[in-house]
Amino acid sequence: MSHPDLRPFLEDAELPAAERSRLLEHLQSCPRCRAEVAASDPTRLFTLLGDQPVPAGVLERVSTGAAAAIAVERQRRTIRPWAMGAVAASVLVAGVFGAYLSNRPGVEPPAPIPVKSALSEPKTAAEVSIPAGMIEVLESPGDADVVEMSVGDVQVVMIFDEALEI
Amino acid sequence: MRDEGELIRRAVDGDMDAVNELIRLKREQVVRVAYQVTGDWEDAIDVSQGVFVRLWKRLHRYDPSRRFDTWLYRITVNAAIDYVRSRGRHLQPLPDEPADLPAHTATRPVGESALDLAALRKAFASLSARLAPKQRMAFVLREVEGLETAEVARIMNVAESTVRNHLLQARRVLRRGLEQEYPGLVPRGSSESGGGES
Repeated sequence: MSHPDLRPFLEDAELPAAERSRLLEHLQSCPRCRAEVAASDPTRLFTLLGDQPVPAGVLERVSTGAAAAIAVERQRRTIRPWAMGAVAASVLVAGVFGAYLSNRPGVEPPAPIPVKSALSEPKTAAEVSIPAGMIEVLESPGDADVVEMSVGDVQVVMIFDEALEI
Repeated sequence: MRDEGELIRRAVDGDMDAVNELIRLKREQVVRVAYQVTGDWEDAIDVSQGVFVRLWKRLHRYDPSRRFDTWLYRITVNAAIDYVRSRGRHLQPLPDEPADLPAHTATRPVGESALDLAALRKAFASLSARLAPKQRMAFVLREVEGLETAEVARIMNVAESTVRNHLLQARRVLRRGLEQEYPGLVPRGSSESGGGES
């Protein structure tokens, strides 16, 4: 059996990829050269761990899981701007309506309008009471963004959840 | 074979087919490095999936004048180390290796038998948990993955001398651990020279 010169490897020289690969292949099958490496510096034996095959199924699970996670992220990115736009528009409409009411002759200005946003505290659809018949809940697999607004006695609840269909 | 640079450019432009192809192209590299750091294939799969999501989110920040693999290695090793830290635990022994078996009975002298890679991996999984994150990163990239010191320095964003220092410290810790807990992997005395013909 022909044995390679181990000195460059043991002296921590940077071997060209092909030469390193040949050396590791030899070390896998040669007890004598492994013993020499171990006697010089046993930590160099850990180099042999790099060439091991990946177990079956692992690569496919990485691809599938990554693609699914990216799809979820993409969906979030497309929903959020729309949701925030809708909130802004609703607040604007409520403001204009309030201004109109307060400026009518003979009408007392209403109390300040409390506007409460629950965007920072996502709720599930089940936590919000929806008048029967107005909204049909097709599916509610996860969290929804809910915005509650009080205008006088009227309470407005907005739910941003792609699983809901009005 | 599709040109990798072109693939990356398309992925950066938001082409999801290119992103998925890039994942297929790089998944083995990513999951192997993640495994070297976590010591567990299930953890490595979790880390790898997270790495590709992070990669996708940051693709617009990629500087094409730099090596893509350097960037990917950096994301992977950092993610794997963060993962191990977040779990509040050290590396795990492989499931098919009895964890309660005394280390010295689980290994055999490397020079007297066929290579026992499982024993070697068990020793590495156990001992590398004692390394500081930067030492482990340098050791995995340089020794196990076989990258050049200059490349490891770019990945870790440190000087080459710093990488060499991390390696030196890592080898010192690992060697002490091997001698104390895995004496079977360290032969007594020196062996004969392995150079030339036999």
